Amino acid sequence: MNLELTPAEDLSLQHLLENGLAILDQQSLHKTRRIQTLEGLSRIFSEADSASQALHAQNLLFGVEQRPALERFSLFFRRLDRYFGESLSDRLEEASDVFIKLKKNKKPTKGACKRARELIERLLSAFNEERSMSPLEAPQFFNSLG
Amino acid sequence: MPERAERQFCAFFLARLAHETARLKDMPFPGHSTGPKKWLNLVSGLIDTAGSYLELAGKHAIPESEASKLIREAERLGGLAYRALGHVVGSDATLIPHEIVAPLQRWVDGLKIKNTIFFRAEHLPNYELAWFDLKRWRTDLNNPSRSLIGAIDRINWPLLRVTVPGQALGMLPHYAVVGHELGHGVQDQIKPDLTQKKADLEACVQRITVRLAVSSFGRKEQLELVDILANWVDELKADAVGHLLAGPAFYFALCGYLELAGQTYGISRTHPPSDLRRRLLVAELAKGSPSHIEVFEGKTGLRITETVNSSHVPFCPPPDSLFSELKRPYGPLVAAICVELVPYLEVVASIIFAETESFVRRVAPDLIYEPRKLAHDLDSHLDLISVLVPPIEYRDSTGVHAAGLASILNVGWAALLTRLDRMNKPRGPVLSPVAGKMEQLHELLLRAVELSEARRVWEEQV
Repeated sequence: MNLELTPAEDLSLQHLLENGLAILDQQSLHKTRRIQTLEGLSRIFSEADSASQALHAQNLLFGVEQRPALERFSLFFRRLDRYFGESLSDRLEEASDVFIKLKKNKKPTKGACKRARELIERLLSAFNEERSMSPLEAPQFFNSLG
Repeated sequence: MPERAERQFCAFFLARLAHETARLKDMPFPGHSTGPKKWLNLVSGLIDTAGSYLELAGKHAIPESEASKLIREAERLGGLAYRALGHVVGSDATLIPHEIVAPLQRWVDGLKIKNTIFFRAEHLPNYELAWFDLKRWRTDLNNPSRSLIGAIDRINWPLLRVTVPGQALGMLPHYAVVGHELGHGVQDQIKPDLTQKKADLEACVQRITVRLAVSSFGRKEQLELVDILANWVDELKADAVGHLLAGPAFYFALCGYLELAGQTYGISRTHPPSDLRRRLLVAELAKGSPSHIEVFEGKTGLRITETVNSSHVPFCPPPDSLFSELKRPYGPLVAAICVELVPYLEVVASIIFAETESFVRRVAPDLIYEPRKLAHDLDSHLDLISVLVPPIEYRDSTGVHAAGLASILNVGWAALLTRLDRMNKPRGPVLSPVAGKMEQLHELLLRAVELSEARRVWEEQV
């Protein structure tokens, strides 16, 4: 839980996802940055995937047991369910597999990389939309209406 | 690239922020708390990182689109730093009684909470624990400044900020609610096994689907239920910790808070209904022989009930009416989940309270406030506090010792609820005789906290 900082406002998360895209596009990234990015992304997608599987198995207590996984899955579900629907779980599992493979210097398939890329791009786009749509502070009135 | 007005204004904004941050770093914080200064160092780190983005954006070799992105991100970092400054407002010595910080820190240390923590007050009837976790910014943010890396490394994450009401509601006995907030600090370490009541959860889901008149419970519904259930379980864990640390004082303080916080049902996505929380806590206070309730009634004549100190907090209406009422602000799904979770939570509450007790007994057995300690404290101090003798120390078979915070809070509540009429009228102008007596009691308890802490420090050093 990180109060008052929404995922859309989290610049470090944005950088992590953008660096993930750079890796998928085979752009050069400093070695340490590449390792940190793959570490971060495989953790995020693995947690989201484990929560997705827990929901699929009707384990309604997983939020009590694994709060971070719940929050991670919510991050994706609330923004990407409208695009991916039922296939979101498979997408998360596949993306998790892609980044774990890259971390181990193995080569995921082009198709899997393309779909992981789409997932990240959709998420970044949703964040951008949220930031653009966030309202300015409204004037406040403390008048009696009586 | 040409100088952009946006870049120049952002640089000015950051310079102003840096100046304001430096000014705040010079302020005294109660109890020599290092938390606010560590947070302010983080703010400086964010400002420096934003400054480095701006510098890069001003280089000629940077393409226009990249420069624009860097300026936008510098503005976002500056905005975050500005908001972060707001988080330390109220943590200085002008709003928080300096006497209370060290004893509360003993609770923190006793519960083995290693997180960096600070206390702040605001002018609202609000107690809350805020978590800030920016640890990943060290590795995930592009080009963090050295000062940001250093600040992140010096904080034990997540950083916790405990908010308490400002002076008007900051009467010392109410600080017992902080026990609940510290419970949120350890909630993830408490792992009740709720699988033993799986059938009750399935029945709860069934009732929700009937109430919503749907045939299946999809992922959206599941996720909502999982989220609300996790929130409610965490609230009960925190209540249990508050109860274990402070016994009746926590209950009275929670009730006082619920009474002043708007006299609502209390039920929401984040909190179970207040009447359920009161009922569960009274059940805990009634446990043992003698129980807290028996001891308190025996020594003061006051029976602890579900409405004591909170008689205007309403009980929830029957489920169908509650569903109708909750549907308006929350929509049918959240309303149905909240209504149908109540009986389930009541079933699993004993497991949550037992597991929390087991956790606290394991990590901090000395912090548990037992009924026999309450009996000893009321015997030793209640009559004396009526004649303005503060509860600073107590005697047992091993000698004289400093009174603990829980003892002072419980004696304070007992005096507040049952002995005000015996206290002499305070001298000087007062708004009302009762308010004057309460102020006097508050001052007396603050003195007790300060002197008992001094005595404890002395005991630890000789």
